[in-house]
Amino acid sequence: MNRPTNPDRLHALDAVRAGALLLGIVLHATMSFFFVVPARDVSQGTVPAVAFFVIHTFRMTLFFVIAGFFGRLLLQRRGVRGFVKDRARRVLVPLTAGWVILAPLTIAAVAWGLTRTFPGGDPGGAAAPRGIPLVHLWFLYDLAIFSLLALALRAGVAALDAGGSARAGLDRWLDRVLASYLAPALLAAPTVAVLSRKTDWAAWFGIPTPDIGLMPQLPAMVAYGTAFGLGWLLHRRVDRLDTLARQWPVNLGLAAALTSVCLAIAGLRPDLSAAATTGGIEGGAPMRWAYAAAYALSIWTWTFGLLGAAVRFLSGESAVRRYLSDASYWLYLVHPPIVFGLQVMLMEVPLHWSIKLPAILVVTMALLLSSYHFLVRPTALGELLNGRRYPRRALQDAGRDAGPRRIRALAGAAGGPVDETSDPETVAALVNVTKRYGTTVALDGLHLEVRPGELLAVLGPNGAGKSTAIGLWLGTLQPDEGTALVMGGPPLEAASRLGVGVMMQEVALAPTLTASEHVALTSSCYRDPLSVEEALDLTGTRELARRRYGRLSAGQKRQVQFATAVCGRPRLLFLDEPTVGLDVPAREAMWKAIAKLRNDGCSVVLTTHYLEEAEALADRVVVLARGRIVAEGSVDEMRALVTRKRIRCASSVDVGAMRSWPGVVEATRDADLVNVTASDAETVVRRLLAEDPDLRQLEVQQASLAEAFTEITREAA
Amino acid sequence: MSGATLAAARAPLPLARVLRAYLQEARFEVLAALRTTGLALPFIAIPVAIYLLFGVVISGSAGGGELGPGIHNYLFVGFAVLAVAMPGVFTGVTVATEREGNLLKLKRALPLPPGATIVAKVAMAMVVAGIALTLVVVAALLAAKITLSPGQLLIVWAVLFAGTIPFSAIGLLLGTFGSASAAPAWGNLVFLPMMWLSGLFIPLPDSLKRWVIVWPTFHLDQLALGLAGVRQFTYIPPELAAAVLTGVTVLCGGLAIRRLARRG
Repeated sequence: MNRPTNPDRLHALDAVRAGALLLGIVLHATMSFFFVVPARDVSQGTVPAVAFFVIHTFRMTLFFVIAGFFGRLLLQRRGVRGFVKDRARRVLVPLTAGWVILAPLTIAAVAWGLTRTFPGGDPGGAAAPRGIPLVHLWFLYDLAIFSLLALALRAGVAALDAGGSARAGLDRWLDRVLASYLAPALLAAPTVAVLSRKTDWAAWFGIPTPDIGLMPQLPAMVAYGTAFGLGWLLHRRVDRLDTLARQWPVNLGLAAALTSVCLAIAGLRPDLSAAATTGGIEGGAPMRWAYAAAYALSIWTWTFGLLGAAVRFLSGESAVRRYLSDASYWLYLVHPPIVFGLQVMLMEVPLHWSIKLPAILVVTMALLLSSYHFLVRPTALGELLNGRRYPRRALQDAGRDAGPRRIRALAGAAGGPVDETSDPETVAALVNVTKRYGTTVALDGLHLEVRPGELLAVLGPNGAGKSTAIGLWLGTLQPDEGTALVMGGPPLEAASRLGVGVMMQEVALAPTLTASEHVALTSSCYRDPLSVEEALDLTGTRELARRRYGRLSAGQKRQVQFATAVCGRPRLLFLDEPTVGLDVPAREAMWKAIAKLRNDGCSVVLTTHYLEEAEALADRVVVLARGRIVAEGSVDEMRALVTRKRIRCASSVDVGAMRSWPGVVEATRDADLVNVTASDAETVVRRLLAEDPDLRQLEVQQASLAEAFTEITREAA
Repeated sequence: MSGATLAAARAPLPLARVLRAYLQEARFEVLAALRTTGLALPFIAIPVAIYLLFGVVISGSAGGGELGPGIHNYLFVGFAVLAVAMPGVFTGVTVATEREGNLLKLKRALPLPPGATIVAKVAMAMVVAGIALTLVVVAALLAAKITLSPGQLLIVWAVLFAGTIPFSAIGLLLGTFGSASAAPAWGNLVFLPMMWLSGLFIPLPDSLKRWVIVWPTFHLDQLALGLAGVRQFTYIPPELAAAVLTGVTVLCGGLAIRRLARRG
């Protein structure tokens, strides 16, 4: 049965797999603080022992459940051949290569630790390798076996149960068992049977780790094989994970209780002296049986509880978790020599374990993560382990897809300095840019260029994407798709910004500096700035020069910000709603300054709500709505886009009746004056004159940009 | 605009102008901080005030107990560490305020040399810390029973002055989290345990003594005492203390730079 797999839950399972592997690193780091392998630290503690005990209970079972789940997913997606190929590449190759390189290093670290721990010779033969030491790579060996068994079993079942009725029956039965909370007990049963019969069982250490030879070990095969099989069956019906997600508090509560029972029986620390004879359990066979039952049950309640909690809380994508889960395989593979080496190095340092253990983990993770980031993630090694390689930089995809060829030529140079292919006619461009905030699309495949010396007004209602466009050009935002270019390069390069002046919205400059200090500060980062006096004169702010910024009015603050925007003699000026809060004379002074800059050859991008500002200044107007350009042209072209006219006259015609005339959009009366908005002014005027011979003061006007703009955006909505 | 003028506009700034940009940024950062009396004054006045109260007046009457008269040297260095750690850690408040006011975003949009903003913040912290530190030194010379030679005092001053840097790195990192109004709380959350639990001027119970090595303040204290040759109170080698402080600087500073590049 195949149901579509919800990718959100897969993210949770990926996080669990990574968590199980990373906990393995923690587990190994605790060992020297309660045990003799790899070394016996001078500071011994109960907390590290209990941490080991708890992690060791569930982490490999959890891992194999996920391995079984993803095993079937892989088989479904790639078929038998693809499955075998993938397992060979991602399991057998790391196993073999790891064994050749990592096992000697790990064994050397352990041997070094044991010789330091037992200077007079090894008392228990703990270090003597028996068979082929698989070290921590045994899990790959077992995974390979389970994968082969699964293929064989699947072929057998397919042959015997051709109609699928037995499998459907199994599915129904499993659903019922999972819903009834009985699954942990059923799954634990085979493990209990094997463990309670094992006479040389070191009970404190749970399932014996099969790291000492190629001969499969019965307890591990049974316990982890069950886990792999369950994972495989879980994938047959992914919504079973939701059952686990509901049960997590119960399962985790039971798990904690069962683990407490186990610790009460076996002790908080392993009893190393007794391990050889009684396995560390007092009270004979019944007690051993009880312990085995509690232990195996705790394995499955932990596993179900953690799986459920992960599906409940970690579903959905997170960049950090994604990175860590990609990294976790490499981290786990190579950690033992580092962790063990550090433990041996620190074993005689007279510090408490609560300092040494975190220190070992921090240093290990720092080394491992940096090795992953630089040596694995962008290389063939990462491709081998994770199935894909992440390039260092994603700049290469600049300027792809559509868009005029000249823009593409410019975008091609985005990685370096401008060359001859770049277009001299463009000072800034957004090439097929898409920007999202969560699920909101702020810019939707926007394509916008700024030509030299032009004043481009970007209009649009709130939320249209104006400020987002400016942010992309300034490099304070990064596009999800497409490319932003400024002065012939990407905005993130300081060289691109050397010719750019900026006035942002809602910026709080340092309140204790004066206006002229702010200008001096900003101008210091440009090549050939105006002098402070020149900048203040140009912007009409000379009388503010010595006043502290924090004591200025809102409008005066905008004026000072304008002065800092122009002080670097920019070739390209971004003004994001510059005249908000200005009084009329100040606004006109700013307009004059902007016009002067444009006349001197500076390109200006201006966003505004004040339409008369665009009418007064703009060479070209672009109207944005919902992240797209809905209209573009000169101010006149924009007005021509809409045909409406305003008619005013003094007349006694009934306004109510007028509204039903053909060509009339709206009609109002103000004392004896009538205001009419008309889509067909000529017809309406003819009829007006016919109906009212006394009509006076007739006036017909083209609609303002405001009306044009409102109409365009309404149509786009 | 022709391709040639575009290319000219992109040519890198001459070194002198780059240095000037760094210098101006630092200069105005310091100026702005010193003019913000609400921020600068406590950092300058508090360390010397509490040193005079606790380190001189209260402990001055005591003979020093089993530690002998050397205790006055130890207390002096401890309070001097306080004087540099405080402006360092609380750099975060400035960062958070500027982040919230979009000022750091504006600076990312300007062609400011990379790092100028951060260098300026550290310089600002160092100037404030330098003043506070000098006041503590003067107070020690005038009022306390310290037995350090002028050479030792100079070493302590220089080490602690440079020691502002790791604390600024911590502050910068703190400033990248949370809002401007929460920033002082974050600062205190880090600063208060660091001061009281590192054993610089109050005796600690044994259970806490083993933990002093986690606090950077302890390491700066040890570095200053170790390099000045105050053997009686040198518990760890100065190389180790220097290594820890360098680690803190690289780790916190690196993370802060990374976060500011994305969120500033």
